[in-house]
Amino acid sequence: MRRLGAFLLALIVLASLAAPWLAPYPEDAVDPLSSLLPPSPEHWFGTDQAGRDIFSRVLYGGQTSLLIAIAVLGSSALVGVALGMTAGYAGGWLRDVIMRVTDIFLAFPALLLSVALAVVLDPTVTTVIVAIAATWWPWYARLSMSVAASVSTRPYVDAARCLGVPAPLIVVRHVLPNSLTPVLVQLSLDAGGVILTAAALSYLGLGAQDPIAEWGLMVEQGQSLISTNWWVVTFPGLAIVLTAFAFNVLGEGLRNALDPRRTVIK
Amino acid sequence: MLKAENVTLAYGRTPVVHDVTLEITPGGVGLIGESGSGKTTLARAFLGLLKPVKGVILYGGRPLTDLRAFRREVQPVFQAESLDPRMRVGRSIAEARPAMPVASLMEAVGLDPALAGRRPHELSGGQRQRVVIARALAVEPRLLILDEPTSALDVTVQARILELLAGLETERLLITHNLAVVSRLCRTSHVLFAGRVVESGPTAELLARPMHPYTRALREAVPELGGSPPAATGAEPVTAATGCAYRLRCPLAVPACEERPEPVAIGDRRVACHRATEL
Repeated sequence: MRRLGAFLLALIVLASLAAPWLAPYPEDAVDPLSSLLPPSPEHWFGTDQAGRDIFSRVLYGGQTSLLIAIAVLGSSALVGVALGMTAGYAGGWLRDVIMRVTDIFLAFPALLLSVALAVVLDPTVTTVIVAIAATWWPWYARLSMSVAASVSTRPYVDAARCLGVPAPLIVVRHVLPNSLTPVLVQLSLDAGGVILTAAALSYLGLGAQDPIAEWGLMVEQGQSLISTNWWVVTFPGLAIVLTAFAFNVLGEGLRNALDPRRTVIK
Repeated sequence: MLKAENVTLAYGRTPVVHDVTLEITPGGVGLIGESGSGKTTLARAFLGLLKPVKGVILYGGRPLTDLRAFRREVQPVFQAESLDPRMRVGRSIAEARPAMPVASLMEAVGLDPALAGRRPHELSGGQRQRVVIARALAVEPRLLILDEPTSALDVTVQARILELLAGLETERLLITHNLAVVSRLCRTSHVLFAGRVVESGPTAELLARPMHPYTRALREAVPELGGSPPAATGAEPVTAATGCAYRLRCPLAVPACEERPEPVAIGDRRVACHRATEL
């Protein structure tokens, strides 16, 4: 199962990167005469309202969607984990200040805050990344704060303090490695959610815009056609589901790989 | 060298150690008591990991302020499970002094240096405990604070670890509920109950002729080979919030026990019990 997940993710990433060579048509090649054609040997996944080849757009769309997912999750985790680790280890007033700021961000509905930010900025893929990351990091801050606070009370952390190891080194050597597993699992679970949130922003005209191929945007554009032209929404939707599944299985694999008790004596 | 003077310790607003005065003297000091009596909390204060809400910890006669110098001189030895599960044991030992030859430290505690590349879960309980001791010894401390160092080990491994600890020249404060261990490693002992020292004195005397009913109960609770097991009370241990904390369990309790007894000196012992002289 774990290998299937890694294989799927590798396949999705490689197919997206190789889109210029694999795609039978350009992503933005409009052909009104070929509008809404069902899957066929010429158009494996059919065509959309503008007559564009959906298979080609799914391949190109992977580049945008994966870029958004990786950039959002990477930046959110970096900020959230750094703040969470600091708050969890330091405790006291520093934890209170960091957590209250985090609570302020959490108090806003995520999509609403993303929309507000996206309205202020230009509607681009970068806007989507910034807007979603701004609402995503508090979850990682809260999660890593609670794990770090628990790990900080373990005897090996006390032992390191008693040895005079400086606090930043204790966090990097002991607290961070022993707190990362739930964060990694959460990251893998969030990948699908980020892609869907990006889709919602694009749908509202605040993110990636037509003719850029992006899975979420393709799903949003095709949702009114689901009962009559199922292929328009199904294939980009399947790409999102498969990617989320692959990330989840990868997260499970990472969790196992990072558990030192599962390693064997060589 | 290290002394708690009228120390009160709390977690949040809940005090767990009350007004304790206790000095770590040469020859080894034992801190005996049941779970929740405040032994480990007091040890954390001695290690500079917990600040007293009242009273002071003195090191060399001066309040504990410069922790940098202190850190190298006082080291904890926690249970075998106190190693970072992700760190190879050689790295754990060398954490404070990377330049220190790990092999010689491992040999000094009876470990094969070839084990340095292993992670804690790849070692036995006894080997892990030796690693914990080696880690503490790496900085050549003057005092070891041993917090239940053998309680998770089986008796044969326990005996070997005790032999190793007894052979160390470092001064020690031993925290345990095991009277056999304290009798072997400590010249002086203090009995802690509900966060207060109820009896102190030379270990051999204290265990042979306890003067506090709680110490006597601890002594009688030690199972003997061929003897009958200690009687179970059938209820969770209780402590009184006012007066003598032990009075609700004490077979000798009298109305006077509703007043908290102050520790009094009887020979080279100190006992906090209204009926100490009768025992």
